[in-house]
Amino acid sequence: METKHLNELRENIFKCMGCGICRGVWERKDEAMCPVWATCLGFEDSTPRGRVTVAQDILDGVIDYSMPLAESLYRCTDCACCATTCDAMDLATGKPIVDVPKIVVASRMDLVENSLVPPPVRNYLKAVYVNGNPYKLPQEDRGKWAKGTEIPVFSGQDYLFYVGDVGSYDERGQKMARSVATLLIKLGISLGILGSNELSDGNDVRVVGEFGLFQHLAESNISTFKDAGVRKIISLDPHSYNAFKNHYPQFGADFEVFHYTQILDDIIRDSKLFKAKGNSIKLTYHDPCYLGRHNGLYEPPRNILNKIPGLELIEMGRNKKSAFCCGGGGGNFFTDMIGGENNSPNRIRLREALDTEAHILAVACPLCAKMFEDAIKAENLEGRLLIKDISEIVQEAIQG
Amino acid sequence: MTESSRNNHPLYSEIRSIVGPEHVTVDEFSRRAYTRAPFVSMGAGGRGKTPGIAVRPGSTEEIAEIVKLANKSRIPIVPRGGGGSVSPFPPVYIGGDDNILLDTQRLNRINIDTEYMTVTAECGVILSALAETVRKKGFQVHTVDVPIHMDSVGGVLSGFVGGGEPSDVASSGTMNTFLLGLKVVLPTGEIIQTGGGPGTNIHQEKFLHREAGGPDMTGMFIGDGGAFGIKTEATFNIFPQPSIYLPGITDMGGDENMWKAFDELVKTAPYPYTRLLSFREGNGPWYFVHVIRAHSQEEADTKKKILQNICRKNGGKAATVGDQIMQIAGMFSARRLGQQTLPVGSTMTYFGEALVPKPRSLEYLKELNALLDETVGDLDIYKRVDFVVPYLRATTITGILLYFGKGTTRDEASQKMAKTAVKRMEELFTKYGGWTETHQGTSFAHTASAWSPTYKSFMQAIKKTLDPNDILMPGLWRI
Repeated sequence: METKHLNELRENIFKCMGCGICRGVWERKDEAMCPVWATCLGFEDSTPRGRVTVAQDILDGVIDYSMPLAESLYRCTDCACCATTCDAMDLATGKPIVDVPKIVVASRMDLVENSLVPPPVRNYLKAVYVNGNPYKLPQEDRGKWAKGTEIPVFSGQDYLFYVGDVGSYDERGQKMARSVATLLIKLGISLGILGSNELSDGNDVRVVGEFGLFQHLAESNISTFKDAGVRKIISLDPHSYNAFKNHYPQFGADFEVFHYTQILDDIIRDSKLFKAKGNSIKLTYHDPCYLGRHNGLYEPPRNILNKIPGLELIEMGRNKKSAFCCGGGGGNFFTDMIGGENNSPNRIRLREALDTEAHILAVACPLCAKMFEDAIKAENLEGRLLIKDISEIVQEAIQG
Repeated sequence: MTESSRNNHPLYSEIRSIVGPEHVTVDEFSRRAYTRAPFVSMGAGGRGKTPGIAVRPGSTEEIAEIVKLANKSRIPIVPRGGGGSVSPFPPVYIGGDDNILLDTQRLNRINIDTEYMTVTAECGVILSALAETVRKKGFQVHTVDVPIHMDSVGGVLSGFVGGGEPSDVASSGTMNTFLLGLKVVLPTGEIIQTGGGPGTNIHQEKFLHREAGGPDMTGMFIGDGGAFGIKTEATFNIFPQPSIYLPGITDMGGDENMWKAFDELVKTAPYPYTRLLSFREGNGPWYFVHVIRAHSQEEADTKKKILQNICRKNGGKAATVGDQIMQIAGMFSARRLGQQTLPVGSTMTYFGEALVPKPRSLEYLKELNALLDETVGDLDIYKRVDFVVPYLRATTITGILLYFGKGTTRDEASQKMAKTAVKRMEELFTKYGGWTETHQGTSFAHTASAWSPTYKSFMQAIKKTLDPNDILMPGLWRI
């Protein structure tokens, strides 16, 4: 069976010493961090250490890829907790020597090439391949979220506002996209959208191992961006941000890429937009994995929230690089391979937010927003905690 | 592996019906993932025996049902906690091809009783989670310091000293000291409760103390390697969290000064420290890393004064290279081992420690160093740290930490050297009347080899009575 992609990481895979610290978190001395480990949803093979053990066995020819193994590999949410927690760093590059998320993606690439993809993942990929989006909705509907607003189509503005699949098609994501775009325009940012010309960014397509499709999407997007004269991109979705920032350059992308919280942070830093308020509202913030651990952007969202009068930011026990994943990464937002029911990552994280006694759980990712709203319904907590995107909080603060 | 071949374990269907289909696997990749030991000892590259089936029970009752089934079929069971066994070989080397591996990960509930100041934790709870949960309530529980993020409550209590090295082992002893009682599934499938609390005394609703008006049956399951029963729940004392944390480092110079101060400190009552670690890198000076935890500044200052006086009297001086020393101290954390070693290309490390009689600690250390030079010197030892930690007053936890410049756990020659070194190290501490606190591995057999004939017969009789079919961890002690 094909093991080409895993084999490329052979040297690093065999450097793992198997201590198992990758399953948990060090600094907080708290409970386990790997969502699969924390939710007790898998056997040892589903933990980061176990995944390396399995990889070693595959490379040794002791075991082969199989559908049950594929099911285990697709439970990983690519949250990168393990890569952050393992401190066996290459001192020259500062990168982990045993990069488990990278090993998982390589294994998934082998699985795709071996046609060993579980049905939910296959359906997701097929939807993107056929429809250009995982929602199986028409391409021409992609820009519908902006209908009735004054958000312009891109025609040489300073920034392209890239929305992504969830912002384009999911009701919660659309609301967030409208909020971010109208806010940025209100604050004087010159931006435009691609509307029906926007394509899926392919971040999660890459993470589930379909590199060919990812390459096609990346090259198509790069070509569209270049043809349109795009030089700077603001992304709504940290998943898109991650793809553009870290994986598009290999195909010739040279755009400046920002997450919208970076832009907002810059604008708000010296502004006098907000008027002082008397009542204090407690709020907590959830770090999206593709913004935080994958890209180190912990402060812009906090800077914005701390600047708003009347808001008291209370950190959850696990925050920043120790933040617990909502469970929506690594393709799981669309495939839900991780599952979990009563103990799913989004519900665990929601309970942590409730522990802070905050009234608002602030998010900066449309996938996280959706995951937590689902968790609120599942936990019957409507009215106890509001899920708000940072732009929505800023909009309300400006409007008074 | 095809779907049909996944159902070939003799107890597959029955176990599935007990725990639910999602909590049992016979997939080869999944079973093999349990065969790997962590890196802490040099022999870590070796793999243990692959279990025939892996099960994740969710309750004591489910475990009891599985044990009853195993008894009928005479199939061995290997309980597994956090998978952090620091012994060179993982537990599943024992038994036959149909071994049932019980992954206790799902036994993760924690219940704190602030009125009686106890915490009851299921045995799959990882120690750091236990410590943090208790800390959040303003209390402290004595847990193993390293590897706190790997080990489970059940795994640690099954090790030799029933709790490894709590952070405060120097002044407080091990986790076992604070253990009030256990819930245990016996090898025949009965569930029993030990300790002075509910389940042992029909009139008692809460855990008050360990004693139950008879023999200390809790102790019988401590350090048993899981051979006498499967621990599923443990209750510990908790204490108010000390508010003062006062760390310090003292340069103690050579062997003689260090040992005089060490001996005097250990004999002082009350202990003028909470933690005390003595270490040196290579042939450098000995350093004391000491931590005082106290409930008031006055208490901390008093202890500090006593400690400083003893150190100064014996030639000690405050260390001036604090950052560097703390970095060395940090090497004792498991993650630092990887950080220090992997970049130079080696996957071999050595972290060997044993409980030995205090007066013989330095002699043991010298002999251990010579042994390692002889057995693994070819692996280019580029950093060597000796350490001695008091375990209350009569014993020390003494050992060596080695970083290698070459050799990998994949390399047969390195493996052979490592295995030889570990075996000889085990023979050495056994000769000194000591044992290692490591869990479940080959060291059990070495320690058992030092049992007197009478004691050995006694242990055999207990094992035979409790486990007539030799279901739990068969062959652990090689008796």
